[in-house]
Amino acid sequence: MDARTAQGVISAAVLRQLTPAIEQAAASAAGVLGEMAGRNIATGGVTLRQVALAELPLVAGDPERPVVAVHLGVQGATPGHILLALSERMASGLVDMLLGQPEGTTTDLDELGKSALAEAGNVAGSFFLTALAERARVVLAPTPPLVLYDMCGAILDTLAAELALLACDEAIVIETQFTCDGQVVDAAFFMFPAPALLGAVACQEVGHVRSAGH
Amino acid sequence: MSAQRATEWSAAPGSTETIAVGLGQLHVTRAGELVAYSLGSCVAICLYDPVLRVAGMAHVVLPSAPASDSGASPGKYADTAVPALLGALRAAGAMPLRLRCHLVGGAAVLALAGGALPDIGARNVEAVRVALERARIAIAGEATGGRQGRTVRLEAATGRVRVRAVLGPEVEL
Repeated sequence: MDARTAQGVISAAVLRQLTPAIEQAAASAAGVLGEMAGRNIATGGVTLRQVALAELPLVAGDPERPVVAVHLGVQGATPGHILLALSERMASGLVDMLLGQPEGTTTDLDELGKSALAEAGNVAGSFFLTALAERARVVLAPTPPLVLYDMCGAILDTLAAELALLACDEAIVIETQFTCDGQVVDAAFFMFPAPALLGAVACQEVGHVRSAGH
Repeated sequence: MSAQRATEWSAAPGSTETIAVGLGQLHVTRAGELVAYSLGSCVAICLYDPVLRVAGMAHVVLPSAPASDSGASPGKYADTAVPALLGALRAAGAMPLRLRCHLVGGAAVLALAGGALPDIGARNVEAVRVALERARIAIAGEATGGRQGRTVRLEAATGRVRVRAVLGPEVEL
C-alpha cells in the first residue's frame, strides 16, 4: 500500500487508519505516567491531523498562553519532536504527585521540580516513541529532555522552523489529552513526526491486517 | 487568527484591525497594527515609512531559500523576505531611504547544552542582517536572541513597535 501521496504527505484515509496504533502508544505513555505519579492517568482522546506549517503555532490554542513543556527530539530513521505541554498549575500539581508531596506544596518550579518533570516527560515520551517505533519496525531514540517555560506558540514556532529545515511544508500533529482519576487535566501530549514514520506504521498495519485475514 | 496568503496588502486608513502575520507571510498596511505572535526562532522584520505611515512586516522562518523553492512564500526565508517586503512597500509608495527597521525574534528556545539542535534563531538573525545590509537598510532597534519567545506589534498610524515576552511587560523598541 502506498501510505503517502505523491507529495510525501499522509492521506486522510491513512491518518484514520493509524489512529488505533497511536491510541495504543498514547495509552502506554499515560500508563507509565500514572505509575510514576501514583495516580490513575489515562488518555482522554487522541487526535491525529495534518496542518500547514504556518498553522503549527496555533494547534494548542492561544499562542501567547504560558506553558511548562518537556521537549524530546526524535533521532533516527525519521526525525521529529515530542512535547508534553502543561499549564503552570498542572505542572506544579504533577511535581507534587511525582515527589509524593501534598497537593499545593510546589508553587514555583525549582531544579528538583524541573528534574522530576523532565524524567516524567522522558519516560512517557520514550514509551510513546518505542510503541510507535515497534509498530513501524524502525529504530528511533529520544534526545535528552528539556524543560521549557515559554509562550506555547513560541515553542511551536521553533518546532515549525525545525520541520521547515527538513523541507516539510506540512506538519502531522498527534495530540493526546489526559485524564487524572477520571478528570480531564490541562495537559497535552504532542508528537510531530516525519511523514515517513506514519507511512511506515501504516504499511505495517496493513501487513498485519492482511496476515490476520489469511 | 486565520490563515492568510503569503503576501497581503491592506489599505483602509483609520481601521484598528489587528493583522496576524503568520509563519512565512509578509504583510503591508496603512491601518491598524501588524502582529507576529509568539516568535521563537523565527524573526519578524518590521519596516515603517513615517511620512506615508505605511507599515510592513515579514515573519521569517529560515535563513535562505533552497534551490528547489517555488518562490510562493517569499516571506519564509531571510534572503527572499527582505527584497519582497521592500517591493511591497515600494508598491505602496514607501521610500526605502525613509524606512525605519526593527528586528524581533531569533531566540534559542530549544537550546540544549552541547547544541544538539542547530541554532536556527541566530542564523535567521544573521541572514536578515546580511539581506538588510545588501538593501542598505539600517536597523534602528531590535529585540533578538535570548532563550524566550516574543510577540511583536507594529502600529501603522505611529510606527510604534511593542514587544512582549512570556508574562513580561510590553516594551517599546
